[in-house]
Amino acid sequence: MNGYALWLLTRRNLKIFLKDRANVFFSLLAPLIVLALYVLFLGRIQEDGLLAALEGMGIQGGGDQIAAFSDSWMLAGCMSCACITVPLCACGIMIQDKARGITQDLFISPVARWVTPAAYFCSVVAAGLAIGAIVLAVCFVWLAASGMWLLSLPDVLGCIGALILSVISSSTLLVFVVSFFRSQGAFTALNVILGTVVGFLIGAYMPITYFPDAVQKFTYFIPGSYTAGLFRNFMMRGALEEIAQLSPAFAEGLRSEFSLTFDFFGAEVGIAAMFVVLAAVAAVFAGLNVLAAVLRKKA
Amino acid sequence: METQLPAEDEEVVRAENLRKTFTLSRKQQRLERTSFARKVAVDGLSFAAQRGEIYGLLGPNGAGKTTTLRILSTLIRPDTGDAYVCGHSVTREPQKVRDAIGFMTSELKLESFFTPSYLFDFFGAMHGVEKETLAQRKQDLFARFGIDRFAEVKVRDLSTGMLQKVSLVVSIVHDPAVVIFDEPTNGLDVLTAKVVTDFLLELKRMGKSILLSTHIFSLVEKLCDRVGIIIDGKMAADGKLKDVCGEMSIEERFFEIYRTVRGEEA
Repeated sequence: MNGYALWLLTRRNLKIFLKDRANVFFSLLAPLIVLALYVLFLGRIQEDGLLAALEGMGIQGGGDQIAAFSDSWMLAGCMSCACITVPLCACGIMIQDKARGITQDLFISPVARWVTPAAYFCSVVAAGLAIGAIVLAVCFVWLAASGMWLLSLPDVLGCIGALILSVISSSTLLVFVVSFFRSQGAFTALNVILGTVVGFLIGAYMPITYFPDAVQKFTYFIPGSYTAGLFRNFMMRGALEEIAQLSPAFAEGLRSEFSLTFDFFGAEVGIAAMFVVLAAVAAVFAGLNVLAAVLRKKA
Repeated sequence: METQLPAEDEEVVRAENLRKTFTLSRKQQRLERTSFARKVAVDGLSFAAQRGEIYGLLGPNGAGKTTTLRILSTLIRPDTGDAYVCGHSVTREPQKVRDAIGFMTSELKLESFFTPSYLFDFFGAMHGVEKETLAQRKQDLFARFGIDRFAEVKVRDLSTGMLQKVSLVVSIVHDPAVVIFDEPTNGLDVLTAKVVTDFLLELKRMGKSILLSTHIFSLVEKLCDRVGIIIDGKMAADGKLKDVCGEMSIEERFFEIYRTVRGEEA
């Protein structure tokens, strides 16, 4: 009975999220802003800057490689934002149900208490994966359509793995945070603030290395930075290899400047470590969600 | 999943010495104009409601009516004491209690893009009602309350009165023996309030036992067989309406009791 109720509630929550077109649009606002800024001017500025740097090293050409590198960087930023903002918007159902007393109705139905919060979590993950998969498909189509497809099969699988782990990780964290919110106003404030700053904090608008040292160190404590790191590694690897054929030193410089690896207080954080960090965040916040549910039940 | 109805004249709800205290935040202390960090919401409350009757908990705002109903609905646990719904303890057998009750408020809790039919099926499945039984109940209840013509119309396109009916019918999808209704007509316009009171009388005719909270005297006079007057979390009077009121109206009797308990005019 509890398993069936979990499935029913998850489906209901997902339906509510997906049927609200405005909510789905706003969940993708941050990635769309990244895309718009890139198309309008950031892309051009970045490509010109990188080409000038390449020319400064005495290397002519490389326009296609730089364009592929820039586009991949922008798309990795869009994906990383979507992995955070979509689950966040999907958490809105928790607040909506609380504010309208629907949670109370659900708690009165003869299913175990854990089912309702578990269904919220499952629907947040499902929404993140569904919308994230569509965004990822759009990214792939973008790269293929513009003739910049440089991804191998492991890269594609890596992107899918990064999507799954990032959505689960951000969902456990966001469900925990949002479970303390009671009013729609407070949640909207969180949504607006996070939606605005997330692009900067994970380096979607500009590389994190352009920020002051203290800000850079701060971003290393944000799980979204590791999500962005993973997507960059998988989406930009092919383009970076092409650039390496022109100038290995230049490619190596780009790798650290565009945060494909982090220097976490002297320790280099690569792909495996990024996966571990995201998995650890998911495990810690899953534990905290369970603990909070137990404490709430006792209270 | 139909709940077994208790035998005639049987107590369907029995509260025994319920006590519930809440911790007040600083903001709540300011609003309540008190320096105490804890508030006793319900203080040794005992009463019983019989099968097939409407029992009204009458009291001013903050008297402890909603807290009592929330304890009976298993939403919160009492600090001490216990309550029984159809013989099941709210503290020890909350799942069985939830099987036996329907909990309603006057607030509308329906998502605008779902249809009455979907909502009925959803909450029916949540309560574990068999598919055939659910289909039959939907047909019966929708016809009885005039929802059948609007079964597939989206909630956002329904009138307020129809919305209220849908909300109420969805709350009894699992055919509960006991219906608990917190402030049934609070904030409703006269037409929608009539929909609700007619609905409650219809439920009574269907043999349901109803427990409601209110601060509206006319509602008690119109609907209730028994009344419990709560003041400051304590039961000040309890019994059949005519026994509690005697020759007085419920309003006169309430204020007489209030003066006696509080030693002051309301």
